[in-house]
Amino acid sequence: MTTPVDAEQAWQDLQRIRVPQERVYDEVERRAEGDQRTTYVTAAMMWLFLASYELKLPTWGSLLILAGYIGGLSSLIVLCSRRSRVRLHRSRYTWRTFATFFAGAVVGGGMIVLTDLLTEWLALPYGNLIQATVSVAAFLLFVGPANRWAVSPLRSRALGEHPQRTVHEEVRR
Amino acid sequence: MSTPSGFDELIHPSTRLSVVALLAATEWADFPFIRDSLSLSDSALSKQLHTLEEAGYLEIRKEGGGRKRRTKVRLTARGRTAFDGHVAALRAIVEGAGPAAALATPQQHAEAGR
Repeated sequence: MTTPVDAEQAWQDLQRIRVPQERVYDEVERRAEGDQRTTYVTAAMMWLFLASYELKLPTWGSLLILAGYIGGLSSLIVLCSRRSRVRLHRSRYTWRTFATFFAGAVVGGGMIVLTDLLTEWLALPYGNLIQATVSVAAFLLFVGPANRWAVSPLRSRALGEHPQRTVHEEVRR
Repeated sequence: MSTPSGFDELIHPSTRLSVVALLAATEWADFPFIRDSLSLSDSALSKQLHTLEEAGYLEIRKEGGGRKRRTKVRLTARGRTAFDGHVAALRAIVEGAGPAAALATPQQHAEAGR
């Protein structure tokens, strides 16, 4: 069979493929580490939502605030999606991404329930404000390391961690 | 339209190979991101994208209007298959070269270095 390129050129082409894909992972990692404004806006909305229970609003008031909270979060998701320049292909994600999502829900929900129980048990004043502050602090402490943990294996899984070998080293393997 | 497999002459040129390689890692990427990542001019990238679009390898979608207009580029299933086939063909060429290439070429390099 005649091939249009020799082994040396084919190897160079394979190395050339890595470079643009590295740029994609650079962008994904930069977004996972750097979007602090979105994190703080999410935390602020979460605090307002949880603290609003201190006001002892009627059911319709609580539902209104819940609708506002869900609407705010949805708008933030849409805004983030519009701002992003690239989206990683679904086949490139690992189990860690999904685990982080569920762990976030468990940590957030668990902290709300735990602080609610503690403030009631200790009969602390302004229980909902304490609950909101502790839950938001847990969220802020969790979200950064969790994002980095979720994103860190993506590049090595797709591109490998091997240093660039020559064609001669490759065919000897 | 037949499904391409193996070495792909359309993807082979270095700029197109880089464009398709970048898009293979993504669901979509926007035009400025591809341009900046590959250090290409708008016109050079446009030309390559339209060539690939005509072959059915990618989709170009324009969103919004006015100053907020965005161009998103996505690799189609056909384009993804072509890229996978091309990469497999390149690997086969490298592996097919075997010990002969590994032994012969360093000698050539050594001679060239004298």
